[in-house]
Amino acid sequence: MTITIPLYVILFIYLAFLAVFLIFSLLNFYHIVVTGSFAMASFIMSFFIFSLTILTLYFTYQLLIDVNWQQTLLEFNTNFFQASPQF
Amino acid sequence: MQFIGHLIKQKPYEKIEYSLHRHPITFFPKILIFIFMMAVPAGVYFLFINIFPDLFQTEIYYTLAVLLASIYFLSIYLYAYGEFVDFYLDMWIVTNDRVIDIEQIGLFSRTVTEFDLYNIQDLTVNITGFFHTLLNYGDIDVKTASGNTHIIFRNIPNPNEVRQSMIQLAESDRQYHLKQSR
Repeated sequence: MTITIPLYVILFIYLAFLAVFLIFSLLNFYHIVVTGSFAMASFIMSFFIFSLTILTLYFTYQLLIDVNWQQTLLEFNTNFFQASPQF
Repeated sequence: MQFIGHLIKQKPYEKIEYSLHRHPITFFPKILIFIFMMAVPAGVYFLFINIFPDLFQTEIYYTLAVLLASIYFLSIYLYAYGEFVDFYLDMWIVTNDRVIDIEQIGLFSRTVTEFDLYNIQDLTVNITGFFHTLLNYGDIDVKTASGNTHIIFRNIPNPNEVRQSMIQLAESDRQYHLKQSR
């Protein structure tokens, strides 16, 4: 029996990280707004981080646009554990 | 100022005199760390290209490298944003009635200390260091009569002017409370 792990599995891990990133970014922004600190400095910093994030996600998308996500990342052959050694 | 008034539950007769943050130069080391961390993937890429020239020809390794680099960069952005929030949300608010110290510790911890102006007994300014002296920023140590409450304004710009102003505000507040008690 062969167990294959396709490449798109790491995409799910990446998306899970993106979700965590989004939560913490929003938390940071929420802290700035709630404490009344949304002035020029915090606006510039928030805009800078937001722009860098968009740029990074765009370039990630562009670099991975032609990837075949269906190809096999890892393959396990369970017969390896069942076969008896030959001497 | 409107938001700050809401934050400190500003009283009707209260006027916000100062809303102080640390001097921006104190955030500069974090900016340098950020720039260095941004440059690390480029160095790693050139290292791998020289040691394993055909590594990124394989689609799987190429995909893993791109996703890891993306995760790394996004983590740096989150770190930088978190450090900024930690730096910027440390603030000291001086009104004509109170002194409030808001200290942000990480993302999920904040300490707020306040006391009345007329309780101030001692104000000490400490400007130590080359950049501190050149750019005129330093600490103000504010002690009250009880000694239990102790606030330090850390690395604020123009600390001597703030100290002088606080002395005058404290004296005015003391006079006001003396009149009220008669």
